[in-house]
Amino acid sequence: MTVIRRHRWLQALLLFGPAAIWAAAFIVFPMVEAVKMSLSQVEYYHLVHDWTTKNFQLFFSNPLYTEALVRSAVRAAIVAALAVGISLPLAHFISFRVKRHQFLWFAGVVVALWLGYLLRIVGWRILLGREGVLNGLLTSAGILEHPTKVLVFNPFAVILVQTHLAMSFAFIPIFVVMQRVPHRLMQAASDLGAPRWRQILEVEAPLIAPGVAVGATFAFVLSFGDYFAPQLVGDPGSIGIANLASSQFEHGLAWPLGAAIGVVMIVSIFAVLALPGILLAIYRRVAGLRARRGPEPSRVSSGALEGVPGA
Amino acid sequence: MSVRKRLGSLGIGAGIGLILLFLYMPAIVIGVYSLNKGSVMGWPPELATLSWYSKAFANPAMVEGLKNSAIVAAVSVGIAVILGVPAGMGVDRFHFFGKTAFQRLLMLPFLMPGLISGLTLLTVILDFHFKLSLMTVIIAHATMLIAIVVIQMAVVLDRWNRSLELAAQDLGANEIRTFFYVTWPNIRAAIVGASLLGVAISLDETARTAFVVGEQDTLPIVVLSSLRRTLTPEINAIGTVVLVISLVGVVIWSKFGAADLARE
Repeated sequence: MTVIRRHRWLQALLLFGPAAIWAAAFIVFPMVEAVKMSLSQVEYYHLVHDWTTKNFQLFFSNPLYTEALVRSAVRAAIVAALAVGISLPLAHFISFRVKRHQFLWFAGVVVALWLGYLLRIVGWRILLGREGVLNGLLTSAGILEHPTKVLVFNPFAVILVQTHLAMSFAFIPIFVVMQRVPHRLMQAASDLGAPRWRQILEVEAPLIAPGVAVGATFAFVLSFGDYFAPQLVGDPGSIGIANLASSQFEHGLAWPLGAAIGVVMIVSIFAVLALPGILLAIYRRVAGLRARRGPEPSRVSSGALEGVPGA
Repeated sequence: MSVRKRLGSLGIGAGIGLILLFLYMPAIVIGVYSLNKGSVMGWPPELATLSWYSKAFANPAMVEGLKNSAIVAAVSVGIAVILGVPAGMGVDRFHFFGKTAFQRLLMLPFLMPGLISGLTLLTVILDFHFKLSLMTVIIAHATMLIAIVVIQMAVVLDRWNRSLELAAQDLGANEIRTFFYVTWPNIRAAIVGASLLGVAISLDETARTAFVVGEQDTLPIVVLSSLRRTLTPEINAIGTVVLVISLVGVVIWSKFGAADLARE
C-alpha cells in the first residue's frame, strides 16, 4: 500500500493498465494484423505472409471494387445530407418552438430510434414490400391497380433505410449543440432588426456548426460501413464496399483481399473523420475575416447584451 | 395572429408531423404486425392474436439466441465496467503525455463502423487459429462498451468536487475507506447508467457480431439468418419484447444517469 501511495506513476499504471492492455490486444493489434493480412496471400489453403501488394492491385484494377467504393461514398454523403437535413428542423423546432416539456419531445424522438438495427430494416421491408403496407394502402385507395414490386429492393430503399438508421447519430449531436444556443442571443438579433433567416444564418448556424459536423460524419460513417441494408432492402446494383469486405470472409479463402478492402475502408474513414476539423478551421478563418471586414464588428452582439437588463 | 403567420405555423407543424411519422413508422409497423393474424404482413392488418409471441418463445433457435445474447451482454458489460471505471478515474486524475491519444484510441471502436472492428478482430482469430465462440463475441462487445463507461465516468467525475476525497483523507480515512465511503456513492449512478446503456447496445449489436460469432448465435444473428430466408411475424414479436426490455432499461438509466447529465 505504502509503495503505491508513494509513487504516482504506479497509481496511474494500476488505473490505466488493464484498459491499456485490453486496447492494445483488441484494438491496436487487430488493426496491425489486418494490415499484415492484407499484404499476404493464401496458397494451398494456408496464409502466407509475403508482404505482397497483390490484393491492393487487384482492388484498384477491378472496376467492380472501385465502383463499389465510389458508390458507398456517394450514398453515405447523400444519407449524411438527408439525416442532417431532417435533424436540423426537428432539433430547431424542439429547441426554439416547443415551450414546455422539451425533454419529453427529445425522449419521444430517441424512443423512436431505440428500435433495434435489424428490426428497423424489417419494419421498412414490411412497409415497402410487395404485399406490404404501402402497396396495400395505394391499391385500396385506387392509386395503384396492382401491388408494385418497385418500392423495395432498389438503391432508393437503401438510402431511405440508412437515413432512418443514421438519424440517431445525426440528431443527438445536433440537438445537444442547439440546446446550448442562448435564446437571448437570437432575441438580441431580432431586437436589432434582423429578420428570421438572418437570425438563423448568422447567430444560430455558427454556434451549431460543430454539432452539425459531428452528426454528419457519424451518419456518413454509419452508411459507409453498413452492409445489412444493401443486402436486405437493396438490389444487386446497390452492393457497397462494406458488402464486398464482409463477403470475402463468408465464402472461400479470400481473407487477404477482405483485409485489404477493410484497410481501404479504414483509410477512407480516417480521411472523413479528419474532414470536419479541417472544414471548421477554414470556416472559422473565413467567418473571422468577414466579421473583421464587415460593417458591423463581431463584438456588437455581446456589447448589445450588456445593456439589456437581465441579460 | 395574421393569416400568413397562422399558415406558416400550420406548415411547420405539418412538416414536424411528417418527420415524426417517418421516425416512428418502423416501430409502429413492428408492433402492429406482431399482433397480426396471418403470416402475410399486408394491408389492412388483422389484429387478433398473441400467437406470434408464443410461437417466438417456443422457437428453440430464438430462445437459444436470447439466452446467448443475455450471457454476452452480462459478461461484456461486466468486463467493460471492470476495465473502464478505473480508466475513467485515471483520465480524471492524471495528466500525462499521450493521454488524449489514449482516450481517442479507446473511442476508436465506437467511431469506426462495427464492420471494421469485427473484420480486424477476425483477422487475428484466423491468423492464430483461435476458435470462434461466445467468448470472441464477448471480446468484440466489451471492446466497444469500454468507451461508453469511460465517457460516462469522465463526465461524472469532471463535475465532482475532488476536495471531498481530500477531506475524508484529512479526517484519517485511508484510500480504501475513502473510495467506498466517498467516491463510490458518487459514481454508483453513473456506473449503473453506463451498464444499462451497454446492455441495450450489446443486445442490438449485429455488425461486429456477424464476423466473430461461432456456432452459438446471438439473437440479432438468429434474426439476420431468418431475414435472409423470409419475413416471419415471430421476429416482430421478439423484437417488440426486446424493445420493451431495453426501453425499461433506458428509462431507469434516465432516472440515474441522464438526470446527472442534464444538470451539467
